[in-house]
Amino acid sequence: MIAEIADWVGTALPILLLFPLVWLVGGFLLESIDPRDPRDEPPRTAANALGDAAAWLFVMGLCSYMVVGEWQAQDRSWFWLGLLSLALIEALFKLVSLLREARRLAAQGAPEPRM
Amino acid sequence: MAIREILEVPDPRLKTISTPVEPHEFGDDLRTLVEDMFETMYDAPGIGLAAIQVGVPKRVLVIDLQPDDPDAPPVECSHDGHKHTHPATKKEPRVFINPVILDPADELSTYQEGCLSVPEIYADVDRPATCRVRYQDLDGNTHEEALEGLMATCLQHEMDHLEGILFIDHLSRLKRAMVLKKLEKIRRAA
Repeated sequence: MIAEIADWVGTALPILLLFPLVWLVGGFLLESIDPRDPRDEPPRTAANALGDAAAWLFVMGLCSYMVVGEWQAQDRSWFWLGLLSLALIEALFKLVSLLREARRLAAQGAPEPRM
Repeated sequence: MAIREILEVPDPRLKTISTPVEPHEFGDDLRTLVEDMFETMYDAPGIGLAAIQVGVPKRVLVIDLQPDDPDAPPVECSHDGHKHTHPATKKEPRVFINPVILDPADELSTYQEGCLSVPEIYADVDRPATCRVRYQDLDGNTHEEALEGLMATCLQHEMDHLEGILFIDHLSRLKRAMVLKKLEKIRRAA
């Protein structure tokens, strides 16, 4: 078991380093080419956040299904297992963040006047 | 009239205790200050402003609760970065010079307060539900008035500014530390 974990860590390490890099660079590029004017977008609501959370729940389910399938396979690939596990963790992180955001937006209502 | 810069925490000037407006100070300069304060407050937007919030350590407050005007059409706005509409409001500007709070009620009311000098932070603060206030107008005439509801809360909030007190000073040490940390984060993100 320990050998398997060590094998997994060894395989996943490059992905662990690569994943945030791709995420940051990709996010920056997408942001810079996005032609939309943020002022034209309506204020974000709890329903928006819940909709996004549902999408990430679907992604999480898909990743879980693929991780289990890969784990049970005779010729399991540690590379894919590592990659899918990271995607699963990311989806779980997004899901929790969006649910927290939905709760915050639902609770906040209209802002009080300032003095 | 001019829009003045609103001081924000942790500016040390917000801790200054403001001095009374002396009889010889009632005049054009005071009127200009009050006009500027109203313009600054409406632009922010806010419902109350103390002179120290624009860097003038004098006991001068302006308040306009701007209640909704159901007869007027909604107003387009984009102050938070998004185009949206607000119900139209009525202007009811009030000026309080050298205000003194009298007979604060024992009964407390809780209001979620926000401050123009503490951006993006709101917190529940307990204050006397009603009070009386003695103040002078722009001509130096003295008045006394009973206040309740949001007007009482707003006046007490502004009176705190005259003593160098912010609404976050009414919070527990832990809550205040959390608020200041959040402010630092907001400022870094900006």
